Amino acid sequence: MKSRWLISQPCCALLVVISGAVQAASTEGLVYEPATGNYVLSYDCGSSDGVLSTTIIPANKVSPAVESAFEVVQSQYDYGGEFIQYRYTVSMGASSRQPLLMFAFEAVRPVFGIVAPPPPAMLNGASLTDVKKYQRDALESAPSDWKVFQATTYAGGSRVGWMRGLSSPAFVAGAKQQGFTFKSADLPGVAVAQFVGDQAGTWQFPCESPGSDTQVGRDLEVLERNNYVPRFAAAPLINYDHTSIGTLKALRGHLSQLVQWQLIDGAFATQFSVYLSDSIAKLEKGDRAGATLPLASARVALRSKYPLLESETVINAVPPSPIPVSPVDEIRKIVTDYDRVLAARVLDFDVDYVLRQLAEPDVDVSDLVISPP
Amino acid sequence: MKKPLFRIVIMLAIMTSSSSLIAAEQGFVVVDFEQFEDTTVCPTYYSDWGAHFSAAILRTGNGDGSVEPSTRDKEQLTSVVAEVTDCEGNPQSDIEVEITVVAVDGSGGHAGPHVLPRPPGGLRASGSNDPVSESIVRMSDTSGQIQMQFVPPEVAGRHAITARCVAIECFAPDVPLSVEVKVDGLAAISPLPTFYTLTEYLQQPIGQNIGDNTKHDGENHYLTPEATGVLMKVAFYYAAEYAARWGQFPEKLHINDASLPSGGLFDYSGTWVYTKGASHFEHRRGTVVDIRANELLGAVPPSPDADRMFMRAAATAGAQATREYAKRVPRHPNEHYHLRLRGARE
Repeated sequence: MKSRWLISQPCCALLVVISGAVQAASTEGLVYEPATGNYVLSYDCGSSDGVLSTTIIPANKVSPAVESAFEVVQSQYDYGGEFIQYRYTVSMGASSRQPLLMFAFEAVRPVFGIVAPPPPAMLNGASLTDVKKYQRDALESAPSDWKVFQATTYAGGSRVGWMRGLSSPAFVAGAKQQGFTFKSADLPGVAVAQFVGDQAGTWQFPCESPGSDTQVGRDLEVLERNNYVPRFAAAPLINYDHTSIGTLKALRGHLSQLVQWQLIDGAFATQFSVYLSDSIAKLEKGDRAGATLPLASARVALRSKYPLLESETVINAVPPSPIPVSPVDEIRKIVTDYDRVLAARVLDFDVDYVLRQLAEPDVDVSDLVISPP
Repeated sequence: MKKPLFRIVIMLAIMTSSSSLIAAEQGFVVVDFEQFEDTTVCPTYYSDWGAHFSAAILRTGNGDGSVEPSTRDKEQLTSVVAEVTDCEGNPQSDIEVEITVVAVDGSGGHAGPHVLPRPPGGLRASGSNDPVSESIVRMSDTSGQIQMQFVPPEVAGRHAITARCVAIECFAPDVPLSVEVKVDGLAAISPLPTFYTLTEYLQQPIGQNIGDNTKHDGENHYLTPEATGVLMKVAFYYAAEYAARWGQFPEKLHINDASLPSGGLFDYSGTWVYTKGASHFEHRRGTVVDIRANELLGAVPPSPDADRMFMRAAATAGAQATREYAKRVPRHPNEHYHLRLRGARE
């Protein structure tokens, strides 16, 4: 049985599926076929149809890598101010078996500098000219052959990403693209970027898709939830707060996520968290100057722990696994040195940003000695 | 000294996570004892009737006497308390009471004719593993109470719970307490006539709801407001993709079944129970909608180009689109997009 990886029913290896047509089958199951990377789904359609099978083409046959960059830039407007600019470079690994359709971040903080669709209240008045203009703007504010999008998700978070133009040449193995950019008032954290391969259309079922009351339906649901390739990238997750207290609390909360993803180790996270808590406590007492010392110590500790912090980017693209148990498990499989350095850079950047906000931008961390918080 | 007359009050309480008093709204008979000169005995007013009973909801989980429908995987338990008192409000133990639950005809969007008796959910004594029943008989305990659980059915709608003494005559209010089995927060899909339509306007009589059937006339277009927002984005993004490619607006999306007004099982064939080919497995919580995609006028055309455009529009909005009843030869008339607006199954 080496040639097939069975999700549920071993008997399903007997199925024969001809691409593009619905076939009768004997038993239910979701069977992975390593040769194609596809799945054969067989399930009971009820009534006289019986068990039918169809081919499911997942969108995870891409092997992308993403480099994140983030920096403070000054507003070009008269009222001054600054914000964070995020930039990404995406490359497709040689093992990619699909073109890249899109990549997106879920539930990030508000972003700007890219085109947004009209709000729902204005949609009804949208003319053909308006719609065409939106589509053109979405293409023009993205790298060539890509269009950018942002939308509020069902849960109310912000979703932002880029999709390959419908008529553009396919973005295939070996391709590399830079220039994916947006701005935000909020600071970076480490997020999961979802990379979606072009599966050339929707999944097609011979009747209603199998419900979660059956094993085959539950297997399919796992595949649905993981129908992308996750990669770590910096994204606006840490809210900017002019008092810095909210920012430090958000950063402290983000540490547990980084530990869960094994991007930093638990012991260091605990130490780092204590530095942040110490600074927060001082800020809450109005001691802005005193709040800077633990933050500076945190930066020193970070650089001691992660000497790679200043190193060049390392990209280790890995091929996707066939069907991850859960997104978290999948992410753990792909943690690379680059990802750990990315997490350290994010922490360093955010703490440094807060230090500058506290009007102590010139603290020389090299002169400081790590002291117990 | 007058001998106190016997008065029994049976009170039903539906409790989930919090409590509130809505007895008056639910038909609780409120008796003003101050009007009687001798408050140490039962009012003679009642003596003409013999023994008396009343029923009321004392507390509800979310304050409006509602509970979510059960699903195939999970029973949505909620507690019911019946209380027996004499006419002075003193708890009475060892009174045998029958508690019955009945689903109200036509409620929950199931006004059309259905083929089987409507499942009313069921009751069971608290702490027992008894199978649920539409009617149970229990003795009141030393506090005058009977503790039960109400297990709502998969089908949403209003349910009436009544109490009746078994061995003696009781008074009961004319209006039984009602419990609304529903998914909170569903609302009719907001119109967006530039990009989608909820009514037939080409082949069918103007104004007829798409997907109407005699079982659920005009009741099939309910979503959460958040889901409607995502639907609007999908329709807009699809139009934008289409316009960029073909230079004109596509046919408006034809919105088929979403959810019923109170959610719960959408048995489009009127069977009351989930049956493959006769019910939607999802479409229960207002986050899933079907979009016409067959060879009828007003459908997303069954072409690879249109399919890719629709898939891209859904992905952009964070929704998940699949095509059902597809790849049939000849094409199946039910072919449609199954659009999960929160990007995942319900």
